[in-house]
Amino acid sequence: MEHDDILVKVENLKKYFPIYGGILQRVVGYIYAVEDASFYIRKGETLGLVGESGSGKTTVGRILVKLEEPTGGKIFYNSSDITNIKGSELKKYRRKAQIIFQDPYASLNPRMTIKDSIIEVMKVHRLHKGEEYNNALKLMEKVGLSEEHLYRFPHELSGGQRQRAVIARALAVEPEFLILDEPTASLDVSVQAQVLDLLKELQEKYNYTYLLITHNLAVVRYISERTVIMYRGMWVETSPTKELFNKAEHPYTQALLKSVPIPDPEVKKDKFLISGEPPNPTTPVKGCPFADRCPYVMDICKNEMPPVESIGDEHKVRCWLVNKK
Amino acid sequence: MKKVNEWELKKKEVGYALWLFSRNKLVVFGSLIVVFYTILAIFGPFIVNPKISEQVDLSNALKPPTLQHIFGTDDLGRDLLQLIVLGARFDMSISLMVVLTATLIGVTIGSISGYAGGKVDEIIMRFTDILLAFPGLVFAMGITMALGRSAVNLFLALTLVWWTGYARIMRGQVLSEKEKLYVQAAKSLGIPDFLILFKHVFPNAIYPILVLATMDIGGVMLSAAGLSFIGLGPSPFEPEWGQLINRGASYLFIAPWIMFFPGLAVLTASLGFNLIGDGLRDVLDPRLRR
Amino acid sequence: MDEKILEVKNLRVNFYTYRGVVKALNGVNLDLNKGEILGLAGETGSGKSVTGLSILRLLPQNARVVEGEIFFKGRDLLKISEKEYNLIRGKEINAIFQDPHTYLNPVFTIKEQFKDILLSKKDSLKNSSKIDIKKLDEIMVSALKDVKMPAVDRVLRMYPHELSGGMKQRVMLAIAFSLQPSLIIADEPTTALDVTIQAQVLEIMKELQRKYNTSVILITHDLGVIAETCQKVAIMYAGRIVEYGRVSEVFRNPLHPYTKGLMEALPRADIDVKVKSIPGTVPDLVSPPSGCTFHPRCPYAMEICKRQSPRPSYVKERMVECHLYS
Repeated sequence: MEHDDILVKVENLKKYFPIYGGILQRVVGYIYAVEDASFYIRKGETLGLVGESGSGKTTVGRILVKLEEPTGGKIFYNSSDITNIKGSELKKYRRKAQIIFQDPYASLNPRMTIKDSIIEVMKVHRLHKGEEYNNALKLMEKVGLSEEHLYRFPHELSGGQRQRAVIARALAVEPEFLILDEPTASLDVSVQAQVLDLLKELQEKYNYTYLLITHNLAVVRYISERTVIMYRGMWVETSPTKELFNKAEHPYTQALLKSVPIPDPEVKKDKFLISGEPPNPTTPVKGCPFADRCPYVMDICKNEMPPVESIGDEHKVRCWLVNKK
Repeated sequence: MKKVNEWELKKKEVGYALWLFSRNKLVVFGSLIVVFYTILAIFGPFIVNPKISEQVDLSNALKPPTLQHIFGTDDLGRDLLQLIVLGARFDMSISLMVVLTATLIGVTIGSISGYAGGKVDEIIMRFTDILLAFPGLVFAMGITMALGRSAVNLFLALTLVWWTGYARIMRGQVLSEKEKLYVQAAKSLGIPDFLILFKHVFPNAIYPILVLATMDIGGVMLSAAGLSFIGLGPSPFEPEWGQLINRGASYLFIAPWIMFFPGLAVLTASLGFNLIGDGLRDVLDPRLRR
Repeated sequence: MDEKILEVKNLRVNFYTYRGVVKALNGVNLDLNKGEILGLAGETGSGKSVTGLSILRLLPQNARVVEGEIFFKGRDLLKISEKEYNLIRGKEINAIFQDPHTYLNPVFTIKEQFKDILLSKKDSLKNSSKIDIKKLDEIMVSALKDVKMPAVDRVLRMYPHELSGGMKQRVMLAIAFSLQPSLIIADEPTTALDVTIQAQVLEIMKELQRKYNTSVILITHDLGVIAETCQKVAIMYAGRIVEYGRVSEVFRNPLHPYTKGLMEALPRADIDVKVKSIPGTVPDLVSPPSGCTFHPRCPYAMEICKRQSPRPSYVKERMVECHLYS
């Protein structure tokens, strides 16, 4: 089923954040941020990881760049287990996997020029010795900025330019795998398109592999080949993007698709509004996490975790409805 | 490709910083005061013969301000203006040195505490809490009394009292910077911990301390004068503003100028540093730029 | 004939900052009819929020209205005293903001705050036949039921932090509509919410708006929200309204190059589109470009665009500010 050109593979990833309480600061409970994230990404492919707030998508991204340690599960990179790597191996991995955060301003040191930020990274990894400046210039060109931007401080750039600068810095380590955590959420519409096109162009030219973490389904449709939908820390549906948008099987995916406002007043949607809000992340999931908002909920949904059903080439759903069909 | 002229950019940057600093009239005023006292501190002993502080001339004692003695004379018949000029050196240097040393100690200990966290943090912070629990001036009094009356001991006492505040604030700064996204980004870029601490966390954390320290110079000056006022300063013949105020206190009703003019000097000097601190904050905050 | 409820004429607002004078609004003209939802769209710095704040007279300290008039039911809101305005604000004009935290006080329960707001409007309600101030509890309960709040009695006893983002925004809607104002200014009311929750809140807002025949100015950057919620739309760019008209017409056939660009820059969730971005960035309003402020980014820019700022041209109900159409 899976192919050997897989670059990243995540199996049953879990992350619980302890909650400390009382005078002695003991663990009094957990935030069950990620309950089960499983997916794989092929070389040169874009995988969309979609979910609303509290879905755990951001935590997955942070675990993948080793900013968090997973509570359970495994991560494979190029078939080798990197779940618990440390030291020099970790440093090597960090050259291969980079993350772009939502807020480009906050992810740049406010007191360093773009030049210093980029050159620092090359120096740390001993890349392009003596040629750092020229290489920084090349990176700026790659992301559509010019030499003068190298001498700017982050606050002297516009939102779009900052995100380009952050991308340039990430590319300075010559990575293979980029995790894009809401890369355009803080940008204006006209600038969002510029950044999305830049990302697409870079992928075509240099064959980068992307994990696109977002809540924006339009962006996912625009640049990802396959998509994983997460709800309350658990993946509920995964499919090639085209197929997902045409025939979503999970009721949550359907609701999500129908809730997105479409910028075309002539498109009359059959309203499929779901009531309620995502459950509290401090209680562990029992049964299907979507059960209490699902319009098709059955008794079994509340008590038993639905099994994974394969309903097509790379299209998998976790729902009792599909199972019963 | 045309290379950007870095030197030009630097010059522009410095020019802009100066403009930011000087657009507030009060800040300019403060700087002028400080520059004035700094000149006095450096050149005072060349302008005025330093020996005059030891020349007692009782026939001239307690003379009110006249053309000959613009600020009047003290109870030993010495010219007050000359004494104040000579006093600038002691007061300026002790407050600068105390703040400098205290900042150095405080910043080092605070950074270690904040970045290391855990047990180290706990121990250091409890220790500073204990020191902070004593009222500063009383604590300094105790130390000078125990060590004996001298300029060095005054310096030691004030430094000991002052560093804890900086340590506390530096720790808080480091803790908050440590959590910021750019530090996380640096981590994920593979930048080693010590570089993150020195190149990212530290420079961003220290700026508020610099502002605070500048403002504190005035405070230290007041405290030094205060300690000296209650007789815990350097020897009575060392020209020093607090000392002069102290002498003046006894003659408050018959010769108020003895207290008034040194008091004015302390007040204006500390005000000057305070105002500079204000201007510094504008220059050092990158978010206030452009 | 439509009844005009709000008329903004040539509104200019400056912000005085250390960087210089920011010309946030450069002559905004706007009409709003009774019972209509107008979408005010634009990017960061376009002036859409400033327009809303000007109508609410809630501009920050360093901002000043330098020119213009805002007629609400025939009275110029900019000319009346603060005291007179207070009689209008809350009762006749109300607001909903993006972040309920800035509006709801964390140390009081929903009931306490809601009651305070109603009581503060006591004076303006005395002569009103619509609402009986003796029945505050009933007003609150029915307002919360209006927004489909489950377990109303419990919610009234809760503190803001005990409510989720969607619930808080519903409380805001309930408060805003409770006095049945004629005009509501909703500034990015659903931007902070998840899409499934956003859909719920927008649905409730539309329902209440129809029920009370309220006029609404919906300020948002999301053209999708406007397409689904509003009848009219005004597209703002660099402190001016560059295009104004019925949503159906503007979206089907955008006239202004900026509107066109915006529509083409938007990836869509329902169909596959080729996205085309607008080059360049939003101008700095301290020193805006000469002539038409959009000309440096405009693919159709002509010589005249650099020199002269375009005057509005009207085609029936449609307004566009562009030299292409004059």
